[in-house]
Amino acid sequence: MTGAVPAVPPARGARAGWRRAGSAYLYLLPSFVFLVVFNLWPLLEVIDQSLYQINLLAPTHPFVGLGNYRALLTSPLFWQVVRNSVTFAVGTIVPSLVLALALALILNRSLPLLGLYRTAVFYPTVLPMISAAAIWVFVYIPSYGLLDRALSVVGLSEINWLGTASTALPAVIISTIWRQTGYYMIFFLAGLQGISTEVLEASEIDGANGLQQLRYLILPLLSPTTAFVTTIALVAGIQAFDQVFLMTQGGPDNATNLPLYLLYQIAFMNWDTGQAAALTVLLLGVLFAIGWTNYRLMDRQAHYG
Amino acid sequence: MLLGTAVLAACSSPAPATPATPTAAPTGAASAAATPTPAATQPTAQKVELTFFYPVGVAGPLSKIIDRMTGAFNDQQGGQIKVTPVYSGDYLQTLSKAQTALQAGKPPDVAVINAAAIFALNDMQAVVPLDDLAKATSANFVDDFFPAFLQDSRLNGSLMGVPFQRSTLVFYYNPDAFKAAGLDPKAPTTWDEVVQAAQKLVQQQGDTVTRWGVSFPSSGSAYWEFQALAIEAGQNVMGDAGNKVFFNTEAAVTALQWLLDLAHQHKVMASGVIDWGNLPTDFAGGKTAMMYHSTGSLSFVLKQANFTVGVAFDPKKKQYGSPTGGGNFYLFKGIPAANREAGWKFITAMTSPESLAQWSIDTGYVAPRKSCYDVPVYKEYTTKTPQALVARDQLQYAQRELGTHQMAQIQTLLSNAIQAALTGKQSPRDALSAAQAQADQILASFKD
Repeated sequence: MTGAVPAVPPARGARAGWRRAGSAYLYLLPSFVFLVVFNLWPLLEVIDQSLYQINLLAPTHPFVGLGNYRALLTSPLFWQVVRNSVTFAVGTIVPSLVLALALALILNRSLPLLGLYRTAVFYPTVLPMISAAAIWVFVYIPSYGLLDRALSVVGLSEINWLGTASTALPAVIISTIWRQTGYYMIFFLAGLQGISTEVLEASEIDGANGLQQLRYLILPLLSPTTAFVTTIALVAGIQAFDQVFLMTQGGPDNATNLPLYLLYQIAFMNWDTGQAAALTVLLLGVLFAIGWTNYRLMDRQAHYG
Repeated sequence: MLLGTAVLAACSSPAPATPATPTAAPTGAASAAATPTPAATQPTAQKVELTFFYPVGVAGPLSKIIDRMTGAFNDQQGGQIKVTPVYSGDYLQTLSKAQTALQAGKPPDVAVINAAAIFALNDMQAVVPLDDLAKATSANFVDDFFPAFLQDSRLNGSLMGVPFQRSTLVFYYNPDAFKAAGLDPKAPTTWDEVVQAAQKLVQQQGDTVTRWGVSFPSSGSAYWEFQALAIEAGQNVMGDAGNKVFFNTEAAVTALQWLLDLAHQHKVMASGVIDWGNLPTDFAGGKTAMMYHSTGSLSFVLKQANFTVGVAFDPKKKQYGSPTGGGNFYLFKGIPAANREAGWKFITAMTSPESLAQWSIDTGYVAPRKSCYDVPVYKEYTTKTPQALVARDQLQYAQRELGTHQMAQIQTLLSNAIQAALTGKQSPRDALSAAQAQADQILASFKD
């Protein structure tokens, strides 16, 4: 297949289409190979593994069909992890998006030391999650950690944040919000700066106040950004692992066990590769659904634009 | 070229460790290097490179010390053997890492892994028995090691691991705090004495407790320290069989109830789950007057505390007791003969009386060989630091760590049950019974 695109007007018919398409496919081929090798093939392998009972301690791996899935879906631990992850997702996404939008609105004007404020909000994102988690472990240490120290001024008796079932997940959630908000703020800032000032000026002339501007103009015009940020926030919510691993190890008694940590436990503590594969497939399904929904939403927005 | 690399990656399927794997187990890293095939006896003049995975499970700069020890060994070998130490996280992470490497067909040559993993490692066919190598080194190689540490170093009579960094749970106390509270600065010897002393040692400032009387860690691997209490109350959570556990015995229930009582009834301990990692710092900083912790934290505590640290046996209920813990040296399967020879050389060097003595001085781990205590440096050390002898003396009451088939899973069941009780989610009896039932189910498929 020649790579050269003919300079003369292309011949009519299918053969011409092939010519142009051919060179395009050739350019795409390396990426495609990588996609297949590193995305598609492992995906098929994992789906295949999930149908067998593969325990690294046992020599034979019998075919069990949907057995692994059934074991997962009937396990109380799995459903607790699902509940935890819904709480975690809602608990991190809603506050961090609201906070990010608020900060973006505030920091979208020309304030003195604007760069400093934006950096201050954004820098937690630069930290690896594991470093952020290590910092928050110290914040949460009972009695002489930063938080309990601060609270003792108010007279609140010491609270074992990470060691009490009712406060452990909120504690992890707060550390995650702290880290993620800056990242989402950047997207909202970009989105805000994409809103033409003429629209806002026109509305001012019409007598709209700040709140009305926000409600009727800014938020609707930001909806593509919001949809996008919500999607990545959802994905990040499902992918949370570092915090759990470092701060609580899923405890106390699975109060902070999240899907990826459960996966780690099944794969590397129980050595049940088959069940781990099944959980992976389930998680992939959820992520795919989120991605697909996002794609459809963006598609809808495109029609407005 | 890009295509070539991609095709290479696709074609190199790592050799599966188990015979009947229906699918190869890709671990992501496209290792183009094939596993070295064991050649017939290679001349020892050839340079051998060994990978050595090791964990760090207690407080202190142990990585640096390991690097130093390995460097010294490499120098002694004059370039014949080069050992590369690889820090691999805590015990569980090191086991995971070794097992993953095994799956990928590139196992480490030597690793320090929990002694309790003996059944699991054998199930995975990961390690080789060491009897022949041990006999070649010395006719009674194992006799010098304390029996308590050999309990989980042997499987069906075969030596599978060599004790290296072994520990037990000991009782740390602050004599200055005792004196200030008007108590005799002697460690309590029974559970009741612990409560009595703790009640006098608790300090409060208004509503906040500034110093707890006693602290018992319960985060992460809570099962280990809990074993001490279970043994003291009458029975360990495991015997010698790899497929039987004793989670809901009267001893275990009594032990767990006592922990709850310390926090809720006697109010001498913080409620909820107490973090293992922070506790030595808390104790050294005077936030708790007594604590249960590993001997492995001794060096750290001695360095940090500005008072003379008291160390004693874990107080008894019916009997004294402590679990053994820590790691053994293992030699892996699937490595060339030359590596095996070199690996054994490395192991014997690292577990020589002198080496173990120095390691114990630097870290506070118990020196697992009797002859260590005669090494001059160590004699000097124990004269200056008599606390180090407590763990050795307690060994006669020590029993093996919970290490059955499916080790990590079974351990987690017990740890979760303990945490469930401590956080008030379940009563001790219910939590332990549930854990027992789940453990029985998992262990049912193992024959011994």
